Amino acid sequence: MRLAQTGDQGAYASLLVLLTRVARQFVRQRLGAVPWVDDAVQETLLAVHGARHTWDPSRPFGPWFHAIASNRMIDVLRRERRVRSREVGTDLEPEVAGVAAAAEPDDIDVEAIHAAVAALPARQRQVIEGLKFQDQSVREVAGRLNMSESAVKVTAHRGYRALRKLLGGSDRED
Amino acid sequence: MKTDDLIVDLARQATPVTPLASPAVRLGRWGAGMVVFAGAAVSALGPRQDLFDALRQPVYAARLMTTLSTAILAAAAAFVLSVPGAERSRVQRVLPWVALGGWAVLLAALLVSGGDPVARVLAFPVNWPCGYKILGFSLISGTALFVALRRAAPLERLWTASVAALAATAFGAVATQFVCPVDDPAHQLVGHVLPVIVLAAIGTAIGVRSLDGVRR
Repeated sequence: MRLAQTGDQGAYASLLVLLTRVARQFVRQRLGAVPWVDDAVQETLLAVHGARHTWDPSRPFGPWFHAIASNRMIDVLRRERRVRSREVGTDLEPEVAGVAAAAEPDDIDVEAIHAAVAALPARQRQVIEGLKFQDQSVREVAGRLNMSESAVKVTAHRGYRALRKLLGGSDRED
Repeated sequence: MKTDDLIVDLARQATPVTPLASPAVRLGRWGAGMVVFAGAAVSALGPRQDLFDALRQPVYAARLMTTLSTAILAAAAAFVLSVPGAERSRVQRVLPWVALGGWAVLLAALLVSGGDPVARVLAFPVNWPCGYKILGFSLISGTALFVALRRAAPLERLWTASVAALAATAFGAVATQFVCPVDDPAHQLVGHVLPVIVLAAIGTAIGVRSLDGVRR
């Protein structure tokens, strides 16, 4: 982290890789194999990035990191509970659409997908177009649409579910 | 987005950063700034005529010390809470509220010892200029404090905002005590403690929102 604070990108990447493992283990130890472990890990990494100037090199790194990881885990847990209490099957990963497409390349009706996306509510359409058609990151979409990253993820979830329905599939996840 | 992609993305954005000074140093800077500001403002407003005599009175000194303790403990808690993992004990965030309670209890005891406490409080002896002064001092000190807190990374926004708002309003009450000539505990309770509590609640609601955009 000391090197990362000086702008050493290699050291920072190594640190983030290490922290990914630690954060994943941290969440699994406390909550088991919940489906949103990666969400919590990514939120933790983003928080570490945003707060990296607050770590005092003269103090131990562990308490600083665990405070962030713990806080992010609780926030994601609350969010997931809130979303689950209102919706059915919101744990669809944004990548699933891409995975499905890759698995069945011959079955894709591109025009139908574009038509279905165009039929989505404006916010969902903008988010999905950004994530899938323009290959933007969640952060980039959030910045462009002036939304939080969490809101982008939730909107994407809803959009994917609506797309499934529009394309003739079930709106429930397996 | 995959975690590996996120790591690459974040590493690419790893520009050099200057480590934030410790909470104690930041508290010292804010405190020094506020002492200068309060000194100038009290001079401009005109301190109470008998200030030096009042400072020698145990009751006035005790009242001032409890209010000052509330402000300092609350500001210290706010700066500590704004840095992940810096809080040694949760007692730290509770202490300012204990000090606030001590201030109110002290005034209540003085009120009771003076006799006829209920009637004196129900007379609602508010001196509005005191309220305005507390508000004015609080706005300046609170703005400076929240700007400083936004530079850090407060994880618990509600706690951070509440102790910061309390620090700002208690600081406002400290500065106002150098100007206010009314020593009646009923006035101090209704005209000083009550505005501090009300303004701290309002400040918390606004402060939480101001800390919302801080990357955590």
